[in-house]
Amino acid sequence: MTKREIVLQALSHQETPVIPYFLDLTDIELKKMIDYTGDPLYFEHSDSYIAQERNESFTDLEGGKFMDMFGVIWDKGAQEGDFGIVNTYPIPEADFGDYVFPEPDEKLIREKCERLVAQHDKFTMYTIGFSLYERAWALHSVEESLMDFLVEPEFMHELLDKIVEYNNKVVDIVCEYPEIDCIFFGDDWGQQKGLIMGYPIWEEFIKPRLKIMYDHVKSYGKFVAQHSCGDCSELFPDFVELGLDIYNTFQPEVYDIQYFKDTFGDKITFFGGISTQRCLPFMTPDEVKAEMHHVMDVLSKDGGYILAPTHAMPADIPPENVIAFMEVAKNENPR
Amino acid sequence: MSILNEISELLQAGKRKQVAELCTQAIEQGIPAAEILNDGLMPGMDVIGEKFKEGEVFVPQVLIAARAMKAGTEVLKPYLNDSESTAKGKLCIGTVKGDLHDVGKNLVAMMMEGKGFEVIDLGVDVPPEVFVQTARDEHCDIVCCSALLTTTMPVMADIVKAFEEAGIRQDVKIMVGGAPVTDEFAAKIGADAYTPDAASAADKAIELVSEAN
Repeated sequence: MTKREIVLQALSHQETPVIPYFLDLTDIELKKMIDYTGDPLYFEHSDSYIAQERNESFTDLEGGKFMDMFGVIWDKGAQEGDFGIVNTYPIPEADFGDYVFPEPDEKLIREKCERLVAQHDKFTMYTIGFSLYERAWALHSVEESLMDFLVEPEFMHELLDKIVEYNNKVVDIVCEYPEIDCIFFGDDWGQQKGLIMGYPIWEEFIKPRLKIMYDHVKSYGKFVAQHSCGDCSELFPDFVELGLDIYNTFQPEVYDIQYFKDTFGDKITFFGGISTQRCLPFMTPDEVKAEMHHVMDVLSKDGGYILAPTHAMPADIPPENVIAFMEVAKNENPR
Repeated sequence: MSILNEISELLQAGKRKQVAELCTQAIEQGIPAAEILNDGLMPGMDVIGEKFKEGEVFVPQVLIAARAMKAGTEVLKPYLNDSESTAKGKLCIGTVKGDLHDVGKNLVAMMMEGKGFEVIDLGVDVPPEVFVQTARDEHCDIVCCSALLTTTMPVMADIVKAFEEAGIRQDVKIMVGGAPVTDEFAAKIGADAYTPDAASAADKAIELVSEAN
């Protein structure tokens, strides 16, 4: 079986000969692993079952500042990984002013799609990060967006509609490629406990738009994956209703993984599960392995699991623990 | 309904313009500014804080209430003189060096203001020496440190150490918070308190200053 076929089998909720896995590292951690192992192709040699390309693109404005395709200027100074912080919000007030929403950069998207096509022995995911609420706050600020859900709801509805429109155009291009398996939306709604915006706002503003985006992807016969960090436990019935196939990140410090597997595991594939918050930075390699086996035992019953860290592994994870992760993924799988 | 109750209700609903208008009216009626603050604005923020802890309201509702509180206190400020100062204490707050996440930190600052603390917001990416210097120069009772990342959480230990080295550890209470932070971690690094959410942080701060007094 190819790696792709194994992932497809896991997604159809059937036991797989091995649990498909994905190594995800921040740039700094990858460099650390390359130095530690002397292998410049450390990531490539992980033989992950998934290939990803991200839709986001940035123009380097120099001085640590980068502009994304929506015209948001980011400061990538002090903080490892991720995007940094927004330096300039294009839509600071609840008024679009002269802001013009971008059209997808078709040439760039097709280049990324071609890279995925070349890796079609794997399960291929095209990632639209900052896909809804996060795109709204990148344009309009977190605090203004959260407040405007309550005080300027019409503006927020319109803002989110424009974002959906953009996303669907990207999906139209990507889904022309039969070799691309999945659209992976990223949008952080969870806090350590509960949703930052609360369920009623999520249900009014986010859910109907997820339905539009998910249905659009599904109309092309592709899989839908959704990322949110933190605690989205109250959303799982909605995820099932919306037909979501894959949920990432699934933090075990947030979820009772046995309960969620038992309750939603026949519908939703869990992607993640190995904690970058409690396990990978702090445990010994042997403890990491034991924790991984526990999570794998719970989540891989009847398929439905893709082994991965709960976030791109950041730089506080000792190289020995990345190696322990890979040993389990490659050699102790099945144990 | 008394005007102070009305102010509290409007604050809870996040109606900042109406809160400001009613604060002006209350001043015109001769109600002392400190009373409007203590019996109008702050009880409103208390209710929101409790509801937030109970999961009845969420961050958006807290944000609009805090904005209304700010609009009200702006009106009252010129009428509050130092001798009437109702400040429960003074604190500085910041997201630790290497970390740029500020939503949680801002919420804590708002809740602290809602409890009547004077808050010095140091922003994000704050090095330990800035916490120490601010606490010393401004005579802060409490220092609040926030981190969202496991990679930046260890800076909190450096902050506790920096206060020890500066010889002023006993003069301040150090509170820590953020997604990866736990009670065990706070105990391990020698911080005085960890709280899981902004409203609990403000309650804890009140507790800490009353213990100290």
